[in-house]
Amino acid sequence: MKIDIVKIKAFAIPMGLFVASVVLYVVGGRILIDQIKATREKIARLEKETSVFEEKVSILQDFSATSSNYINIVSTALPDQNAGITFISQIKRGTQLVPVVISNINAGSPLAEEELSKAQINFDVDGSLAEVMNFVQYVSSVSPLSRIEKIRINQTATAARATVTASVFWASFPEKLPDITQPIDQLSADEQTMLADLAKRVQPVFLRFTPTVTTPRADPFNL
Amino acid sequence: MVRINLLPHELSPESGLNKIANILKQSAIYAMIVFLVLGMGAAGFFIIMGSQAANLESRQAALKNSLEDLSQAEQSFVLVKDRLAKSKQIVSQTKSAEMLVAMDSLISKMPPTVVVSEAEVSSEKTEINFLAKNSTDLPQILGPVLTQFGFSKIVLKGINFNPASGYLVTLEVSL
Repeated sequence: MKIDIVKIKAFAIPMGLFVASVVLYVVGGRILIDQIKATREKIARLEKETSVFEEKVSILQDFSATSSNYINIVSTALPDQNAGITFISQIKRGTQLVPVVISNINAGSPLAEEELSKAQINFDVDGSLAEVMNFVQYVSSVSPLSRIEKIRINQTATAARATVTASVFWASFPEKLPDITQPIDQLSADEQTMLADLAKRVQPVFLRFTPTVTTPRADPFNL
Repeated sequence: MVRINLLPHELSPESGLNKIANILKQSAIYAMIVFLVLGMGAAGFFIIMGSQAANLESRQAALKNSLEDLSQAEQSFVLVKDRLAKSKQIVSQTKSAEMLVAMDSLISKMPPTVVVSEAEVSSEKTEINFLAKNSTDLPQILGPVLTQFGFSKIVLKGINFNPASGYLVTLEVSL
């Protein structure tokens, strides 16, 4: 019996060491692999985010140089409030460019929608056929953006009359900025073309009244 | 060096068992050494990766600051993108303006004896009434309509004759 204990003791210590090393390999190896995986994932995520940020900063820096001009163009073409009045003012301004007579202007009630809101504007144009056609083409080239829904042209021996139904649009401004980690794309070729088209449109003239500078009232008793 | 074993002979383990125990012991020692080497390698890896992550984090923090400074530009950018997308939506549905240009060009090609008495242009269809004094003008009306402008659909809705006014040709065209 004593001999067996000695034999077992002589075998148990190396066996214990071996088992301990196997356990160390399994447990430690697993922890190590998990940690390496997590670190690599973290680095990959940081690299991706950094590259998104770098691209975003570069795009925005380029854009900020010209942004004020772009904002005026796009927000005049598609304002955030009912553009009916501006559109009617553009129609009236058009008579200075094309000699036609405008009558029966009326604006329908606004139709507010989530994406695009619109209002219908009806008016009659009187003049020669060529002038009427010119005028209608002028109307479709003004800012704010409109869509000519229907034109009815009647021509007599002396004059022509067009009854025009147009829709004028507006849309509320975006209220939220995208998440900081969300990438942004530069203005595409289509968007650049659209921007150039909007810039070419006849812009409305807004009169801005600057406040007058108030001067202190003279004291009549100390003149 | 002389190896002295003072234990009684019967107490020493069997040589086969002793061999296995030695192999296990050596394997365990080698495994520990390899594990230590691997551990040191892993520690090196973590140090390098840690410094890389720290660099990226500091770069990211600087970029985030720049983005905060550019938040006004970002607002403008989002606004411009939004307006352009919606403008495209409006313009892409506007066929009447193109039709008007085509109609204007068509009218300019008509002989002086042909007049457009009535026309209706809408996004769905365009109907034009031409008034011609003589029947010889009829081919001159239909010729440009058929060969030019690339209308996708041309419907001759009617030809009426009135001795007082002449021939009334009604056409429905679509782009």
